[in-house]
Amino acid sequence: MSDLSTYIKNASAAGTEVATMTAADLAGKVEALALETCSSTALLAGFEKSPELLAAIVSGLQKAGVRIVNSEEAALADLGVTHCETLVADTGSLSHDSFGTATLTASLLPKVHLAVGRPVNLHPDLKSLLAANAQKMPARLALITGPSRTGDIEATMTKCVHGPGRVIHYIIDRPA
Amino acid sequence: MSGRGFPARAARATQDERVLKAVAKTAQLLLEKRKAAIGGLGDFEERRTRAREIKERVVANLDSLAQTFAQNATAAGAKVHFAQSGREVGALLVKLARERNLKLAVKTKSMTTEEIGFEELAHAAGIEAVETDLGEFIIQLAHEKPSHIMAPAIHRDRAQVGQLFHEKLGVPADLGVEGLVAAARNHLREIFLNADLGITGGNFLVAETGTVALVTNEGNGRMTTSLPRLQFVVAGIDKLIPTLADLPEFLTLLTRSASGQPISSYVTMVTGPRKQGETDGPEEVHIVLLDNGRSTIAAGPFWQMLYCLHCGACLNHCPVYRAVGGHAWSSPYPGPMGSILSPLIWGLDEYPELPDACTLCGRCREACPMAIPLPDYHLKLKEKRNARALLPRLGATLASKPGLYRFALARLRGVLRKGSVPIETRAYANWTKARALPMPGEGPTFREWWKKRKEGKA
Repeated sequence: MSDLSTYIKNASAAGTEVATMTAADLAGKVEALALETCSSTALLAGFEKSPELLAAIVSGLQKAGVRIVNSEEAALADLGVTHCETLVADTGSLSHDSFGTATLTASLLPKVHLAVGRPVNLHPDLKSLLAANAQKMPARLALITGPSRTGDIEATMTKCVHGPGRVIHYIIDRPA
Repeated sequence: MSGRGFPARAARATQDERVLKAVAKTAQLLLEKRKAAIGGLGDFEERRTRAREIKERVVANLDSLAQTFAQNATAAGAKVHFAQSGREVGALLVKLARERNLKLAVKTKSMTTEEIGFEELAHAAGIEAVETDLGEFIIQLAHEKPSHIMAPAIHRDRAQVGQLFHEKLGVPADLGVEGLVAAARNHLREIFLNADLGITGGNFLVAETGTVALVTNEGNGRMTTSLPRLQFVVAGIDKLIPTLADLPEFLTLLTRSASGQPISSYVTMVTGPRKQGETDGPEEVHIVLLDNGRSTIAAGPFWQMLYCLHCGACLNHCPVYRAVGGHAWSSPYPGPMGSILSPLIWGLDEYPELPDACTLCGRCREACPMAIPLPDYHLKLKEKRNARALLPRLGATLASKPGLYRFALARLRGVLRKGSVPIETRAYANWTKARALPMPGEGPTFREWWKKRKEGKA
């Protein structure tokens, strides 16, 4: 099994909704998701170096009538869209860090988190991810494995406590 | 029923059927999930052997590892403080609160902060510390203490939580579990956005990089380490591990043992404050490395208690815990690990009967991801307590001094012959309820008779 299929299997088991697609499909998929989740505002983070993905996401959001908010309004956003290229296969985790822009808050505050990106840094395991960061640890390095959840009331698994209740990952794994 | 002590508290707990049902249900569920997750590893024994080897080195080198951690965390921009006790943590809080005008804190679940009574320390510094883990939030609202180290509100069912939220948060009383979670999210979101500081424990402290690793499922750990301008970490020095490469192994042992997850929803690794060019995270990170008796434990016969990952698996597997619930321990640390750790931290005088709360069935050791010899430790601690106890010492003294022994027996005979026994304890009452205390006869004792016979008088 390739690392990517391992990631997809484990992330899905943890509750992340994973889909693979071409960059050309992205705008349509984002539009459909925005409508499905009834999002009226979105917060975007981390796309500085991927203008073509950013353009596709913005176009999809606009078609769905979603207003894009800046970081001052971060707390109000319905949908958080982050650029994510770092994955860990054996835990099914996606990873964000504090280098660059505010992917940490955009992946945390809204009730729905959409991660989009090519699997550029696909690590087989956590050890490999940490080894890649050991020389220069970012101030914050977060692993995200499925939605926010709790079992604190009668051990009943319930989603969307403080973080997002849904985590969706669009992996761009083929050329357009 | 009155009385302090474990037996009285346990007796009170077993009268509350709702509590017992809630405890049994959650403990059983966690136990089954753990079993599946540990089974999924395939090489649990090898893994815990490796983890034990690492912890053995950690416990033997606590000082130097703490220094390495402090150096590297400082290099990353954090301020590291060493504290011997909760009092020193309190003094630091007072200073920080005064200098930086800190009023409102959000807090993640942390056993170490429970251990030092953090809420009162914060209060004394003029800081309101709001618990943000759902379970901890519930018991803070109810003014209770946690009853499980992983699931602190395990003793409350949904109806009780619903009533509590209705009274304190003004939400409808008939919300289901999802509605209750949403109510807590909305209430706490405001507080997160307005908090001056975030308070966390640390599941692991990585010496090599000065990193604090936090494990949460709800996301409150990420909120607490991202939103407020200052982060305050309190972690025991037993949480140190040498390198980043050691972290994955410990993480998976912890989450699989605690909740049966291969990894928690979130793992947050904090290495210093926000750096130039970064937009997330606090401007200041303070890390308190707490000793509070740990160095003494490391040097004593119970050193393996410092291997503990605080996963709670021993609680879920303990027949005594499952029968009486966590409050009977009257300690932040209940269950098998608590029966050992509580007397080690606060003294046997404070918790004399906890080593008795054990059937020696051995399930805790089997379930423990670090294979801590908890049943042996119960026995060892019992021996230690008995050696200090008054009654056995009195017996030993009498038995080693024949003159004193004869004198004491003669006095006891005199008292018993008068027919009044000046003892009024529950143990004595329980004993005499079913048995008659034999009265000494009127005639001479054997010794007196023998003495007279030798003198030719009998």
